[in-house]
Amino acid sequence: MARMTEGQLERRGRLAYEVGRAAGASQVLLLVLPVLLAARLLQRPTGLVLGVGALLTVLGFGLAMLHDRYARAVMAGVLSAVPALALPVLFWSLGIVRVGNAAVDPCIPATFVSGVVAGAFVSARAVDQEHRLSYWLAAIVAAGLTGALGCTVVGDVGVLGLLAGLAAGTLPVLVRSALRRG
Amino acid sequence: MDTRQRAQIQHDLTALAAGERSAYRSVFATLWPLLRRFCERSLRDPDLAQDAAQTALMKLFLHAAEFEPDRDAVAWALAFAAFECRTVRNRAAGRREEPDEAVLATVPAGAPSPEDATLEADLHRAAEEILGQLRPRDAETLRAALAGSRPTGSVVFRKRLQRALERLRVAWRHTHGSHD
Repeated sequence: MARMTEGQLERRGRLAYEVGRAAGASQVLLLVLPVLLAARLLQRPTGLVLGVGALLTVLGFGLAMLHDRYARAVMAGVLSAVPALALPVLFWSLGIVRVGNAAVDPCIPATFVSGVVAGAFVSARAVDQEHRLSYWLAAIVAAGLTGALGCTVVGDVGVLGLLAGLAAGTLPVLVRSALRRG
Repeated sequence: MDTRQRAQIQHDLTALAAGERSAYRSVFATLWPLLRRFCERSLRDPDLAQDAAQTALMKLFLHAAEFEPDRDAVAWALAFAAFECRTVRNRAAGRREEPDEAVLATVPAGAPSPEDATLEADLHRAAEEILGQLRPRDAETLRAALAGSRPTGSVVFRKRLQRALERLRVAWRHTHGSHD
C-alpha cells in the first residue's frame, strides 16, 4: 500500500467504513427479497411488486446503512406486516362470505385487523427504544409498504383499511406508554 | 493508554459500529497512532510498519460495523495490526526462502549470510544498549572479560565479574523479557 498522509488515510478509512456498513446493511435484503418473492407467489401484480418492492428495498437498505436502529426498525416493520400481506389475499380467494342474509367481504376487515397487529407490534417495540419516534417512523413505513402489497387486493380501500389499522394499533400502545411515563 | 482512554475508545468504537458517524474522527485519532506504534515495535522497520499499520487500519474500518460491544476495543484493534505484522513477516520469510542467485554469488564462501550478519549486528546493538544501562565498573569488567584481558587468578576480578553478569541478566530480562 502506498504511503498516505494522515488526511488521505482518514478519508480512505471513512470510505472503508462506509463499504463495511453497506455490506452489513445488505442483510436487510435477506428479509425483504423473500417477502417480495412471497408477494409474487400470492399472485400480486408484477408491476406492484416491482414498484413497491423497489421502494422497500431502497428504503430498507438506505435506513440500515444509516444506523443499526433503523435496520432493526425495518426488519420489525416488514415482519409485522407479513399478516397484512398474506391475509387479505387469502380471504380474497374465499370470495364473498354470507352471514345470514348479509353478504360480507372479509378482505376489508382483514386489512384493518392485520394493520392493527402491525401497528401494535412496531409501536410496542418503539416504546422500548431510545430514539422512539425515528424508530417508529422507519418501522411503520416499512410495515405500510409491505402490507400494501397484500391489501391492494381490494384496491385503495384496502390500503385505507391498512392505514387505519396501523393508526388504531399504534394509538393504545402510545397512550399506555405515555401514561406509564407520566 | 490509561483506563479513561480505554473506556473512551470502547464507547466510541461501539457507537461507530452502530452507525454514529460522529465517532469516526475520535476512533481514527486514537487508533491510528496506536496501530502505528504497535507495528513499529513489532517489525522494527519504519516503512514496513507504516505499510502494515495502514493496511490494518483499513481492514479495521471495513469491519468496524461488526464490532461487538462486549469485546475489548483495544484488543480488537490490535488483532488487526498483529495479523498484518505476521503477514509482513511471513512474506519476508517467504522471500528469504527463494534466494536471489545473483545476490548469493556476491557472498564470499565462509562469510556470514546477510541474515546472519543482521542478526549479529542486532544482538551486538542490544548488548551495547544493556551494557550502557549498567554501572560503569560492571560494564568495564564485562568488556575486559569479553576482550580476554582479565587478570589471571584474580579472585577479586572473578567475584566482580560474577556480580556484573548477574546485573547484566537482570537488565536483559527487564528490557527484553525472558523465555520463562
